[in-house]
Amino acid sequence: MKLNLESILFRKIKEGDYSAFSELFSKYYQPLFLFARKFVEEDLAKDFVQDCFYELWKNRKQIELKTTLSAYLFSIVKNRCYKYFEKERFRAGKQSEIEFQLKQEEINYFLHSEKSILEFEIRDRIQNTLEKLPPKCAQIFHDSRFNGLSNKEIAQKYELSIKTVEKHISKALKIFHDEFKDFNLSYFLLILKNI
Amino acid sequence: MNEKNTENIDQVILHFIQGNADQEEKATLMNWLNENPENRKKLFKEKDIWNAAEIDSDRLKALENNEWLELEKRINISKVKQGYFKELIKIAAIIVVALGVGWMSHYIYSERASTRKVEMRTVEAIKGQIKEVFLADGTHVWLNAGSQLSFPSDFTEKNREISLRGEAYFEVTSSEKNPFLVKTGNHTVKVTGTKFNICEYPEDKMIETTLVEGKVKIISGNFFKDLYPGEQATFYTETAEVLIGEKDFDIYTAWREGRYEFRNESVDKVFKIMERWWDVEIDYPQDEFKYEYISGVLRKHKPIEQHFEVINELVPINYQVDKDNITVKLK
Repeated sequence: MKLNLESILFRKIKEGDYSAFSELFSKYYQPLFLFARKFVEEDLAKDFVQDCFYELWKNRKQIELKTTLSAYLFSIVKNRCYKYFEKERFRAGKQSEIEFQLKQEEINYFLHSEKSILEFEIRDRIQNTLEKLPPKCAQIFHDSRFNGLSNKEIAQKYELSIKTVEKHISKALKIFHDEFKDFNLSYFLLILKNI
Repeated sequence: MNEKNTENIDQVILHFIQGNADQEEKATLMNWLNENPENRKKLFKEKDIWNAAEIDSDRLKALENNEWLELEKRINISKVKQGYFKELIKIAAIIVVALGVGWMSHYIYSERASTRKVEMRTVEAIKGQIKEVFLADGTHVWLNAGSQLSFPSDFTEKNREISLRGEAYFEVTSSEKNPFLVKTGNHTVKVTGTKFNICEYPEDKMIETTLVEGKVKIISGNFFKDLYPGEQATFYTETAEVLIGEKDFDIYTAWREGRYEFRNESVDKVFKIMERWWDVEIDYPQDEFKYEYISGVLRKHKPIEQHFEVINELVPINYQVDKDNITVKLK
């Protein structure tokens, strides 16, 4: 069903339907941006994702989808990030720093072994999960994730130890984790499912 | 790994995904990753969730909005300069004449100045009409609704002077030997055997010249530019900007058959065309419709109501027809 709706949406875009394009944008902009943001700075992430949509609209007539729209868009952004990372690594020299190594591991992980949950329709689930968190846990997670407070600041705000704050955040993440447990993220499984 | 270490690594992971891990913690993580391939999953999935949780936050919604506006701007600019050849040239206003409205104005090169008294003749396609005109030299002209074409009574290959208001499609018979030259001081447009469309309704605030066949050369001081088939030059009358880009010329010439194709065009502009074609006044809030883009076809032989029905499917509108006055509002 999902595939069908998506292919209808894409067909409309190919025919030049601008409102279909705008629908696609609001569906995928944030997930793509959040994904790119894992690997590159905010401004670059914005550029990569905007280019992705711009090119899609510009070349809509020529583009033939061999996969889902989501997979197509993500593969473009992934490749952009990967290429940029490779260039940066080259610039940084041979003894790449530990940041590079970690980032490399992360890129390889999403490029070759697992999908990001951002590639799925997760918005409702995220919202539901946020609402499901115990009150204190929710407050702290919110301050940390959305209000940009450091753990230390949160600790001061609620008169807690930093350790306790971290425990609350870990707990929130654990709840999220359980919520997304049933996602089959590995490529292998997805391929099997598609057959 | 004992419990103490597990607890430690959880803390390090948390610091890492929050972006606060120090060098030592990062080194610890790297070692830990190499201990067991499964550890990657734990770390990056946890970070993935942390990243994803931000979705639909106020910050991201605002970002999305901004980026959409930026993207729209980019698309609208490239609408005129899409294709492999992109160029943005800012030139003086004097070029308007040379470039687009060359036809509209009156500077025509002729080998010898005519001393005879020549009168100008005018053909007009009033609103609601499309007219076909043949000139003495075989030039074939289609005049779109609400346009005027003036030409001299002794219109010959040696003396061609044309002026246009509105939109017209030309099939000019001329050759390298005997070109059409449009001169304005230092600026010249040279035309050799050409099919092209010019659209310059004043309310559109732009002059579009679309070349279908042949060649047009634009010369201004040391600025030279050949337009090739499929290219379109757009002159913005308010900013004096010229954009040259590749265009699907079918779209720009189909109006001759009473069919007007538009792709990703603002409703504002479509309404203006409808006003001319069906000779009606459409009353609508211009600002609201400026950023609504639609694609489709207008067919002149079909009733105008039918077109509003189609537009309604793309952009929800309410419309009311009162004879020749139509009021349209966004739903």
